[in-house]
Amino acid sequence: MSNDQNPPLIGISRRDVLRGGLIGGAGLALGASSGLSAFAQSVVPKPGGNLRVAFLGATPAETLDPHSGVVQVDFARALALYEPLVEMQPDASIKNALAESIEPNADATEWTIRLRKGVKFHDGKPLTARDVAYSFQRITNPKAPLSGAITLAPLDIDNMQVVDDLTLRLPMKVPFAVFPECICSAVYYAIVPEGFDPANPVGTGPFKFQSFTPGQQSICVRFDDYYGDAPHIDTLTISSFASDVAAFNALQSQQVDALAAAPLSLIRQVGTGGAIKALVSEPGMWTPFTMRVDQPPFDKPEVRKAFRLLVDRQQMIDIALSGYGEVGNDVFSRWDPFYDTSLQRSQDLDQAKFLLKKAGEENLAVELVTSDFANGVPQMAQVFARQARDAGVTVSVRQVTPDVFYGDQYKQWTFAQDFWLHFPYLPQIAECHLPGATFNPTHWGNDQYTNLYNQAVGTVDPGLRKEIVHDLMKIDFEDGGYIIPSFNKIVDLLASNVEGLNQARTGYAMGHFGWKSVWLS
Amino acid sequence: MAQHPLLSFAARRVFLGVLTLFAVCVVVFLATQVLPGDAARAVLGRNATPELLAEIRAELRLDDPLLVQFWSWLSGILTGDPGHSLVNGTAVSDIVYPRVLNSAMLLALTSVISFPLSITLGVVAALYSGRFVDTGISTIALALAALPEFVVGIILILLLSTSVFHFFPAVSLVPPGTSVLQNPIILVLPVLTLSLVCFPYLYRMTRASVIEVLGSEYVEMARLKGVGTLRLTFVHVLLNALAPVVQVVALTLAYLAGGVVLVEFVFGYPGVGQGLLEAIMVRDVPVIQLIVLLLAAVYVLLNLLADLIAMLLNPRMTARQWQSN
Repeated sequence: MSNDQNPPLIGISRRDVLRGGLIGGAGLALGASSGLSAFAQSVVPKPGGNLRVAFLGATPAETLDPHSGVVQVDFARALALYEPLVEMQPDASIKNALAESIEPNADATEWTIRLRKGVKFHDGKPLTARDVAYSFQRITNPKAPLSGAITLAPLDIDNMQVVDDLTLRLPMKVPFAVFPECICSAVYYAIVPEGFDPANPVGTGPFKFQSFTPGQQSICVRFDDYYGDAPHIDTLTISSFASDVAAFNALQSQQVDALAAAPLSLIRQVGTGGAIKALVSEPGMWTPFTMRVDQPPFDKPEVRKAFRLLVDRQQMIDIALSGYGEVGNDVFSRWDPFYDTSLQRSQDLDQAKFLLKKAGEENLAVELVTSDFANGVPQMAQVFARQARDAGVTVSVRQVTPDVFYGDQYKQWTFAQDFWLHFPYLPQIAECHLPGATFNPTHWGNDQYTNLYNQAVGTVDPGLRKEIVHDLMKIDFEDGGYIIPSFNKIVDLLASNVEGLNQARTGYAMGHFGWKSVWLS
Repeated sequence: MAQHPLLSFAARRVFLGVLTLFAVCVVVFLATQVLPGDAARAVLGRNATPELLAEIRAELRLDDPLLVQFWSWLSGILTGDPGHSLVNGTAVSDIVYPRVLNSAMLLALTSVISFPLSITLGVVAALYSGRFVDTGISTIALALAALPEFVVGIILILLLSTSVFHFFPAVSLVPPGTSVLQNPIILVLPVLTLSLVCFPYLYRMTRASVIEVLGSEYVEMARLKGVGTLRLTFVHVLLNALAPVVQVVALTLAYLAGGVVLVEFVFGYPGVGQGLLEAIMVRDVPVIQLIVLLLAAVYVLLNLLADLIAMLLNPRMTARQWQSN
């Protein structure tokens, strides 16, 4: 265990460099400042050009199947090629995309989707309700359920009804008032044409497929029959790099125009006003500590609460994340419209000691399993260990490789870490905070919580639903197994001529993969 | 024995080589079986649910008995169909062969540039042993030998493509489906790096070997007979000095064929080494197996060739001596 209060953040370690890209979601995150004013948009975007973007974590496992993407670059490509019915925006709000309207009946047991007129797939065929039905069947195929299947569990797939070319009626097995926010991403919920084959990746997105070699490069070109605002760039070339250094060198020697989600160590090398600028996102990604609530010592609520009180959150952000984060308060989904900002927690060592004593767990010693699956994660573990020592708690940090971390023992560690991008609160619960949820490393769940959740997703009235959501958040805050010390920022490094990208809140790089808004000056 | 000793030696060595390759097949197959984690889990990453895992395992036939898996793999290799990637379903040959071509290009260019240069400089240094030319080149060689290849690569990048000058592209981006030759400028830095990395070993071996031969009695005799320096060096000395150098050349080629992962890594060069690394990270077993097998075959072949050439260069060595070695 390190006693170092300032864990080394220098350089690029071999492990950083060899880091596998298997680990879903964000991959890398965070970064440096530099004039945000540079992103002010007052000029008219210039059309044309080929935007070349580098992503880290190259792996042959990369896929153009939007329903089974694993690494961040899969998501980047999915957002270029495909679209969902409703889509999360860079500011985490939700807007209709392929759906013109999506309306529930009075008790949210049936949803009616009306599609936008005149939408074409890349092969020229028009988008119809049958394609939507096919997409949901493909995702939830009981023989080979894809990543989004869990969230779509309330759908009564067998009784979907194609009313006409543009209308689909979707019955639910239980009242399900939050359907749109559950399917708000082209990642996992893209609409694909009937008989979709990932080898021929046809979608409705602003770019169409030209070429793809997993782990190396994809080229997409602007889709001229796109129904919405046409993208500014002609071509989107996405390259995957195994090495941080190679990617950075490529940016420096102008072989690529952007490095998405750059590691901290590289961001420091970028000054202001040079040929490379940094795009710092809003905080959105979260990298929690996970305490298994079904195992000692964390089966005692006092211990969980004490551990949450051990953390000096701002210090952790300053040290482990070089300041690229915003204090979190142990409740996820920072940008959910119902997020309860009144729940605040700060370090209180005396209270923590008192709670530990009350639980009979003085001089507690635990092992914290960490891994370098996102920027700053192992450093956060070290900082936690150091901060815990002030309250007499001994935390020994064990770092394993990402493939071990997410291997057989993932979700078995008693005390570990994890990461997430932003997702609305209730769908997020379905993924990580219910008994039997796919990614529930804290093993959280009890009847009262599940009942409240079911009640919330079945409540059509937003006001009432907000109250229940606040009850759930209160339980997370008081009792849950996550310690969420921060919401982290993502930093992309851009060549100085890359314009038109927003500061996203979603944890996705490149301004929530703003391929439509980006342009080259 | 009616056969020429060299022929029977060669036949014997080829047979042993084939045996070695079969042994390699078995070892590679078994080794990839005991890699921690399995392909199904690697494919799914954090999305691995028990149902999905079972589904993918069945699809990939990971639950078949070992012997069955080995046989279907080996027969696939022998019939030129090494199967499909576990990770993305593309044909293994489509993944591996473009990389083999890229690596072969790197190897060929590096050899063409580095080998003659190193050997010539080695001879020169030996002829002027102890003088300024010799100490100068030897010091540089020693310094280069002390630097790991990725350091050499990074220094060259800083010098020639990012920080100081901007002559060459820093990374070797090869659009899929195209050859590195369509944009040969991307080869400059990797080839230069590898040439610098290979240089010290060949140079030092040549120098040492030539110095040794220069000191031998027959060279003295030739000198006394009045043989000119040029003729002496290239006819009498070099041919005799080359035998150990050929061995080093073979080892260097073997290194270039697959051991250049770090150089490929630094330049993002899509060669075999990096392909192997990526395949290992995702447990893409068929790709790992084919690449390792190819590399082993290259090693066996190069060593065989090196032995034969060394023997031809030095007729005093009989096949019997070689065999007893």
